[in-house]
Amino acid sequence: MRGYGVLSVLLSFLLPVIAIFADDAFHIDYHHALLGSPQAHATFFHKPQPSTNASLLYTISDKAFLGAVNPRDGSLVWRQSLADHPTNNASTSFLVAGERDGQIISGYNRTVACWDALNGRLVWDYTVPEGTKVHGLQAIALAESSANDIGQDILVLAYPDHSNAHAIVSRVAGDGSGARWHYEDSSLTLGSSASIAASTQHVYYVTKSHGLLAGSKAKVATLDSATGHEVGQASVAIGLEALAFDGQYSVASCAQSPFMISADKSSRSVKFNLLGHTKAATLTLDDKGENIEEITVHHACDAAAPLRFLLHIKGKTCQWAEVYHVDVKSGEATRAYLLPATEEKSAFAATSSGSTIYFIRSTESEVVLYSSESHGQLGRWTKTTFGTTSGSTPSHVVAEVISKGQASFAVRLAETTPSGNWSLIRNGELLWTRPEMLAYASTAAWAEDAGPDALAEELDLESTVNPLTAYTHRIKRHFADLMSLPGHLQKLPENILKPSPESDATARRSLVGTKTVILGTVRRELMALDVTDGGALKWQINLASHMSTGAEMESIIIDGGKAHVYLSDGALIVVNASNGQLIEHRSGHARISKLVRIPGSPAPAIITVEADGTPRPAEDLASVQPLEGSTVVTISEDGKAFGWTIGQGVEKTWTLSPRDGSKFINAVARAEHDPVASIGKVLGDRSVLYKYLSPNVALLIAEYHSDLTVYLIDAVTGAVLDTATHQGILPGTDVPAVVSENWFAYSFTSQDPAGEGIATKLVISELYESSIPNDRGPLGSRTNFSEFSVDAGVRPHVISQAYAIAEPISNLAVSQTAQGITSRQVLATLPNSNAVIGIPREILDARRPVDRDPTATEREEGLMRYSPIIELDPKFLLTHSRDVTGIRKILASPSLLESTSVVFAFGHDVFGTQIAPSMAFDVLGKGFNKGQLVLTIVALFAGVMALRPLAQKKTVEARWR
Amino acid sequence: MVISPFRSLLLLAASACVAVAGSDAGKLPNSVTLSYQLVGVPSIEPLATFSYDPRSKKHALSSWTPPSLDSEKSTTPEPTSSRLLRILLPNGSATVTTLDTFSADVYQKIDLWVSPDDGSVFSASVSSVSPPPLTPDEERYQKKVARAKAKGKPIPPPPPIPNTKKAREEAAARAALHEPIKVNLLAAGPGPAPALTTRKPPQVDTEGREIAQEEQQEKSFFQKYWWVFVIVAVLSMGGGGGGGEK
Repeated sequence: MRGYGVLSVLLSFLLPVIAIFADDAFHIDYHHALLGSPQAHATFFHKPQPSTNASLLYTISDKAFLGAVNPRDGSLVWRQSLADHPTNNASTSFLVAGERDGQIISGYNRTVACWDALNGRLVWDYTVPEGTKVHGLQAIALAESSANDIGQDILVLAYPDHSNAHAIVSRVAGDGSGARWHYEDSSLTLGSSASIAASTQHVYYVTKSHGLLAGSKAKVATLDSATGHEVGQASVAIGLEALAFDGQYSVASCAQSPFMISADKSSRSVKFNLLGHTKAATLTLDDKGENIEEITVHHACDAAAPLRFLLHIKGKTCQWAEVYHVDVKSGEATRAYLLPATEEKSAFAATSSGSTIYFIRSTESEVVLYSSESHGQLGRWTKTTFGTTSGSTPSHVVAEVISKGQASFAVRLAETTPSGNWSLIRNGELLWTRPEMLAYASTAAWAEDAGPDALAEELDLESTVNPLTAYTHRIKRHFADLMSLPGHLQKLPENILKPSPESDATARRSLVGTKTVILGTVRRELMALDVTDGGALKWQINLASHMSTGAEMESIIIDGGKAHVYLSDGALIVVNASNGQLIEHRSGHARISKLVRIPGSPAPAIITVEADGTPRPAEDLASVQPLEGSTVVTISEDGKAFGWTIGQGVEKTWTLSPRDGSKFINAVARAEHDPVASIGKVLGDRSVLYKYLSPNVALLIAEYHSDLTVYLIDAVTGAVLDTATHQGILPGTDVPAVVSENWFAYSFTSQDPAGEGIATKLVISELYESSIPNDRGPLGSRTNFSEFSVDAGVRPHVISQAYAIAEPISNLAVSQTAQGITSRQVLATLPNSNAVIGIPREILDARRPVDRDPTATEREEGLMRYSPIIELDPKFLLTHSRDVTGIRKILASPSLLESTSVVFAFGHDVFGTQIAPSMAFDVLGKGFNKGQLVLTIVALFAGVMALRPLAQKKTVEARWR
Repeated sequence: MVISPFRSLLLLAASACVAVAGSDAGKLPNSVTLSYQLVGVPSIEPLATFSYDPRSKKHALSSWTPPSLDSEKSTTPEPTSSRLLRILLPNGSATVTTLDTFSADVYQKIDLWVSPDDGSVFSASVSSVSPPPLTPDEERYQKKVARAKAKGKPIPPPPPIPNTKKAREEAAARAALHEPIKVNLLAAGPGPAPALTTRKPPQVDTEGREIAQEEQQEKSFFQKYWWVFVIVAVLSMGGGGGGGEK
């Protein structure tokens, strides 16, 4: 009894501690961890652990990301970026799986790296000599298993980049101890084809010189696999076109008997040569009376299985496949059977399970499983639960077959569609889809909110008509509202008693509002994402057919329900912003470098900036007239800044050339929507520092060798208001900047001139009308003024402060709310820790007292003592524990709630969240318990009811006295 | 144009200053000439020439030829808005102002930004500043002038400046504060750097050895949280009585 009392006291101490950490993290935010589009030759199922049968899906994407995906739910297990710089064309990348030793080996650029297949840790890496690139990667099974369970060595072909380098074949030890031998071929000329293949005893090095005189023979050098000495050389007849990927002649990266295969499309024949045999066999393809457009070869990867391969033949109108069996002894290939030709486009995959080889055919509507023995179908599944996004024909598939008893099979199929979706189909049923095309996003814009509120429209209507009609309209509206009351009342108890997580999410969405972002990709697709609903894809459209070669999407501007996509060649594509339907396409005349949107009547006007820095009103909106006196600032290619007024015509007004040799690299202005709730800052002693709130300030950043100069200018007159120079900037680093309200911030990485220390600094400058509180300067008594009126040339009082931060920042943005009452957060991308951070403006305050504690009045104002280093508190990380890579831009937009700003970041990964910098003051938190509230009311009501007779009795008795 | 006579007087004084400065100008190492160009008109006219010292920030105006208002105004199509005017620097930089900036009833302010490395001017802007409020003496004189004008009498001479030292100083200070053509020579300075905190210098004894500061002993757990135990004890003693009654 006594002990229980003590325990309850202690427990009551614990309870609030638990409550503090309840958070919205991982509920209101979402993250698409992307790889990029998987490449056919470097994608497979593989069992990472020898002990279990569970396999993961491995791929190298064409953005050179190596990753492992869980086939169960499509979640990313691990990923590694193989490229130093973002790339969109990593076709010469290679991936080889270790034979049941839990390792996976990648080759890209100059590096061969071995990764732990289960967790993606680097085990070892090997760099090929300078001037060469990895051009082939093969596993060589070791004759006897070594002590540390490594089952194979790696054969690497290094292909020369320039004429001074030589092609080198190396055998690299599978335990990472380096190369066992090298074989150098100095006779290879640039542009010739070279490939490697390996069997247990021999390594084959196949070359074919480039050019007309080369003839139709390939040179095959046979090397001893153990020593690398050349043991034989042969010349083998080949066809015109190599069938292995990337123009290579030898295939079978993992079969025990490598072979060469090439085709002559015109004569409908394929030349086959089992490496080690000197004679090439000519296989004649079935004549369907078709022009053959493309032939691909598929074969399974298993040492125990017999050698069989499938030729997928794509004709003009139909597609079929031929399966060949190979006799390893004689080197002869014979056609076993034909798979029927269909008009529907197909994708084929070959896989083995034990010593059995299966071929899988996947079309738009079904999945068919064949044995390699005969043409009989082992299984056939109709594709179901496909949304609108994945209905198209797969461009390539990889498969895994599990035999469950005699006649039942389970097939898992990983499909890549041309639209960029990567999905897994199990027995015809769609399990998951990964939107890999989002990794290619290059431009984005907020779509307008879904149409105006119905109630607001009705109220508008009532305010325009005469009072009597308005009154009857209102009565009618109220009656209509009452009709839905019984239904609402019926649902009410259910809603209160059974709060589901989805209902929470929908309730939140109705408060925050629906926000859509339209993204343009370098793959020339346009898509819309619902940013408030977990980043779900709304629609997708491919614009490649409307874009000329070399054109890129420059900018997307959304106006009146239409998305205007401006291309770099000046062309314009107009798309319906709500469903992605193409409305209009207009070809361009001149290259444009940038687009700006300025106020105009009746709609905002678009100004295109040509490559030489001359702005021009966009032709497509002839009806829209930009507002008289709008100002545009441009930077020319030689690094000068120009001011232009735009009205009836375009006139250059001012010029600012930075000092000799330096160039303006960036211009930043306040956001289009940047509301200011308060024109002053109230100090602790109740006096007010008035903010310098000019809509016309612009920040120009100039670079000169390692010097960085920031100019704050008045964009109308071109007058410089303030400058700041920083020295020792590291070349090639980003200088992000942001301007909002009465402050601007920028960040740069510099080297200390005295020491070697490299530090990243974040500078914040606040602009005030005067240095003295309660003083508005000479303009204080004016009600209105122009930039040219008397006393308007007064410069702001600038308070600047610099902070050192632990990491470089690649991108800066600021949170946005509807009315600007909520305090702001500076949003920054941290590329080193793959995160997006929100630094509160209170911490980045330029007025924090330096080298002394704040006085009582300063404390009241919320100022903290200045500390030169801003600790990036883990609580500031908007991405929490996630690894958000490659963010190039952060967008923030106001939501319907004043407290909440919607944040969306894209680049490689896609990340979105909702932030409340001043806490969520206008929504109930998660701590609010509906049930408890109802119970309290019920209990109170019951109490009142119970006490009522007593109270009545008491009053009656009191009257009688 | 009530103020204009007074202004012309001041301008006279200013040009006297210019003349004085002109003799001084030879000592200042750098000089720059601003010119102006009406937007839409190709001709470029010189506006002002300054000589200055980028180190000491001393400067002198050696010539000042503002655009004449009347001749330009007549060509303006819309009388409501004043014409735009470019202020040009020799290096090609230009800022924009209006013709009204040079009107007679306002003062001018010229901001010159000087580059820290070569001392050249990289940006110049001209803006207008309202003149200072009149002193009672001046106001009285203005009224006198106005009356004389209305009656067609000759304009009375300005009140003599008292020849005391104090009065002269006051007048000079006033003139310095409200120059008709105020030139600000602004240097582009270095940006802010993090103000690193430094440790207090360690106390050393006569031989230069650091005197070890006595570290404050941290309080033990019981010293810190004795009150919790008191509360727990009181609660457990107070709650213990219930069992006996049953």
